[in-house]
Amino acid sequence: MNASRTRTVWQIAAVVLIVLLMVIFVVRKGNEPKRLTEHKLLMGTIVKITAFDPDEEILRGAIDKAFVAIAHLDSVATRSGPNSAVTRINSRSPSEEQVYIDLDVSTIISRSQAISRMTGGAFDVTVAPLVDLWTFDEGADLPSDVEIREALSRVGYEQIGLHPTSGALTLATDVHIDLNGIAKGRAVDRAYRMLRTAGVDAAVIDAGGDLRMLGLPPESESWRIGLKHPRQDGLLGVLSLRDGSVATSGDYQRFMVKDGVRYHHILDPSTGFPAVGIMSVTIVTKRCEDADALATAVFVMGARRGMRFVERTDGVEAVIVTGSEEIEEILISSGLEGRFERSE
Amino acid sequence: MARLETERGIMTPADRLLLLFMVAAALVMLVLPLGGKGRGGSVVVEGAGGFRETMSLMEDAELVVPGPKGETIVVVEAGWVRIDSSPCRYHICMGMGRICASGRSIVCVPNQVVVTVEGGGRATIDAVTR
Repeated sequence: MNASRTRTVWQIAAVVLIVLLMVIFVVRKGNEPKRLTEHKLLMGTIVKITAFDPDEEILRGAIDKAFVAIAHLDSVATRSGPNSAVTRINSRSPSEEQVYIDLDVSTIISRSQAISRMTGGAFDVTVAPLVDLWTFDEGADLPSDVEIREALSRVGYEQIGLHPTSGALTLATDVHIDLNGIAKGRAVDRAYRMLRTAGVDAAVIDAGGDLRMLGLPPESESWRIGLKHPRQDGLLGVLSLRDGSVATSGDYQRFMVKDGVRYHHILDPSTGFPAVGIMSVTIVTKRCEDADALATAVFVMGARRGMRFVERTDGVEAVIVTGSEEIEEILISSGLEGRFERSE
Repeated sequence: MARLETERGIMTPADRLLLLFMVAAALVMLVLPLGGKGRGGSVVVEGAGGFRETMSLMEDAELVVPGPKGETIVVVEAGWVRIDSSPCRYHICMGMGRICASGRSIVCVPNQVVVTVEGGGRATIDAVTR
């Protein structure tokens, strides 16, 4: 091979290599997952969906469908509104023995009943009369003992009957329901299914701190989920999770302080008063509706009983922060050992 | 001498260096991810009625956001953003503290304000349960 021919071969090789580099760059750039985040005011909170996929059209379509699913649940499960099945139930006439309701709502009530039985009534959707008694405006009066006794007489999940196939609901007279402790989690689950069905690679749905993760974020082996510190700005710590749902109940979300005592919105259905001894409970489980309801239930159960419940229940993990004004203890269930990192 | 070697059909040292560089660059592009990670670069503030403002995290600033309850004040300081004051009842948004990582948000539901850090690659925290 003569010198000029050899040089030509090398020049062609160099050009081919440069073209190859450009092709690699374009292909990699095209396959790089795009991140899209959208917010909407739904379920009485800001719902945020962040999703990752190389196809932006898939992302936009899937997020739109997810928000439609959440909006539907918001309209039927809220305690007010023209399309609300809960309003329909709570405003029934005394002569109505049965109420036929939206399938989504009957499914939520069915799951609520199961969780009530699992937790010995620590979670109870018939807590509505108590919720109505308590307002947490600064300086507001506490409900009287008489008022609480009267409200308690109308609380009890056993007073609801749900026909397994027709969805007909039977309630004792004066029993009202409030699905705020579970509906947000259910809405997150519906959004999750929409995103998964659309083929989205990875996503996290955040409805005011009720979270569900799909797949894994790009270039990472886990989702990093911050836990709010119950008494300070910033985070208590970070959980590294591969999938599932997370929800937290905390005494800092809605509260008032009267005579040096903090009264918060997590009510014990057996006493009618805010549950005591815990600042926050974070539940990790597969479905967000379960995480949502169990965070309330474990808070009501108290730290020791709550953690015993978590340890003996398959697929449920928890971080429980005890104390009143200062953190006394952080209890971490065995399944989260090595996955919770305390912030400095 | 270099010219003489070229005429004999051998690559010059510069040719070899260029080829080596291109092969190395190809390998690096195959192995390394595209884009960076870490802190966000800008803050997007959204409010009621389509209010939307973008601020740099690199410049200290204060933004007054109108809402149904009144004015929420968003402050950028030393690369962090926080809600400094809010007309909402429970001040949960102020209690969420300051943020700087891309993808993180502070929300005020009553006054319909959402503060989101954007840019700068994936967040160090993906979401916060509260």
